[in-house]
Amino acid sequence: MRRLWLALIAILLVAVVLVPNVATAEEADGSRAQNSEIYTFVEELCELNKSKDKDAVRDFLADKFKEALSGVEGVEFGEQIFTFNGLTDSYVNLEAKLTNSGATKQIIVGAHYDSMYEGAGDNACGVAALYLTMQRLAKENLSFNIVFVAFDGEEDGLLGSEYYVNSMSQADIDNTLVMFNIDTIATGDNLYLMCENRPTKLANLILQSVDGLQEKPHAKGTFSNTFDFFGYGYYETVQGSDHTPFRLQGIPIAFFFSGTYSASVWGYSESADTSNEVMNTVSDTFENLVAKHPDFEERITTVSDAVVATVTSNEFLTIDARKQLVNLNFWYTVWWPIIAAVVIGIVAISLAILYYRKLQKNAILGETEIKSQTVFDKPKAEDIFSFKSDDSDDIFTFKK
Amino acid sequence: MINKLRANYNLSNVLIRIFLVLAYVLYSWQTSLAVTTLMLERMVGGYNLWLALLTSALLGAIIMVIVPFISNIFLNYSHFYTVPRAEYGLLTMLFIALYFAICGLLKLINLITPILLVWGEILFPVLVSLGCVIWFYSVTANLYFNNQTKPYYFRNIAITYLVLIIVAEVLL
Repeated sequence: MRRLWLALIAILLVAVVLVPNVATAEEADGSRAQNSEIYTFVEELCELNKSKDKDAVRDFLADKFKEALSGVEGVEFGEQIFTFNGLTDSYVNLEAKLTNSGATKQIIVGAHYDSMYEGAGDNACGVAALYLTMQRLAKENLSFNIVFVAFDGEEDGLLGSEYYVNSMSQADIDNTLVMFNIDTIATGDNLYLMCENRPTKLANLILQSVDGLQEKPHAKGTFSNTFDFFGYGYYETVQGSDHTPFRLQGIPIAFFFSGTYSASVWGYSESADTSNEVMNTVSDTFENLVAKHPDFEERITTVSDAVVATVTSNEFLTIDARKQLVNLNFWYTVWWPIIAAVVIGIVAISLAILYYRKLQKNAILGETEIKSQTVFDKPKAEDIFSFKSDDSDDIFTFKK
Repeated sequence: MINKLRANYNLSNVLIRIFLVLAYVLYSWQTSLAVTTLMLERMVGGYNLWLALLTSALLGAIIMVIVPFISNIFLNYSHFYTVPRAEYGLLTMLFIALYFAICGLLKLINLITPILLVWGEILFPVLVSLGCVIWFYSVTANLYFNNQTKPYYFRNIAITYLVLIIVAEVLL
């Protein structure tokens, strides 16, 4: 009987240990099944990246974009082929435009497809989010145009996005409501949104739309600069990605990325655990992505949800994101305030010196005896001596 | 003002200290919010206004302790032995609290519009502190110093202010 009880307890213990794992595996399979298209998309893109065949990557993406927008009216596909000074390679931006007849306003959703190595995190997952967003927005009937762009040359210095912005007309720039940029969303510790370095209506709207997304802390320059030299020119240096050229042209941006700003890394890092920092390394593989970031599909879905929910909400067209942009002019934001502070300082020091000398004069002569408050280097005779008074016989009297 | 302060010294002592802490909270809550979010993001999980306010209040309390200590050092270093330490320290706290309160109110503009974000960050402390230190000097100089000692007091307070403002603007 005792053996029977022991056997029963042993079976129960084994069940307790194993059952949750089985359930988790089932859940994981279930979610994977739901988003299997995304899983396969990332896997295939990583395979092509690994082969270093950029033409094959472009063809794959162009086919996928056409597939996502098949049967939709008013779709225009395009390519921008360009070279960059000093570099022999040619770059290609892929564009798909969802036009709405009569609409002048537009939004841009972008992600770069070039990568340094296999680029599972940076940026196959971002392109997958772009693809998923494209699929979903194709079903919506919106009152503005939507431009989807897969940028090239990001890793070589934001070449694709810079070329794209430079080729936009001023009217297009003025008519762009927001540029959404998706880059490295899966491999960092947390999923972040960056709009302006201050609270904005656009950021609030995006953050309200989904869970699991947080705004990049508004700490100026992430503790790096005393005078905030890059605090509001910080799009040039901090978190530089394809949104940067757009933001520098005055287009409101919403940038989705991942990482950590925890105090342990004292600034931005992909992960507080250095072994998980894979961006732009050979470790940024699909295998590692699946092993270390099994929630990558969830991240992709979250970002896509955020973009779709934001642009389809009624509030989106009522917020004028341009009104809340911080002035990025380098002179205005950096040098003029400093020069003004220095000028105020010089004026204050000069006045303080003059006042100090006046106090010294008062201390020597006594305030009531001073005929003039003008500052002197050398006292004049009449400041020290007074001429003979009526009740004295002296020709002149030395002042006390 | 000084007569009322002297007549109700104990009450003034308490009220000025409370004013200093509250003024510092008003001055620094935005920064505390950003820093606590960075430091404790995993524990707190996003913005926590109450934690930021508590952090600011604690820092304000530390400043409340430090200010009389520094004013004593200043008086000792300057050999102003006839100046009443406690009262001078209290006046110093009052004017520093005034500086924090005015700067804190000006910083609230950032919540409405970003137009003064960078300019204000650099110029507000300079202008407000300059105004406060001039006022502080005029009050204390008339209270404790005569024509013979005023220049020496002015020189010392000007140099001390210059050092503090450079430290605050450049190093912090």
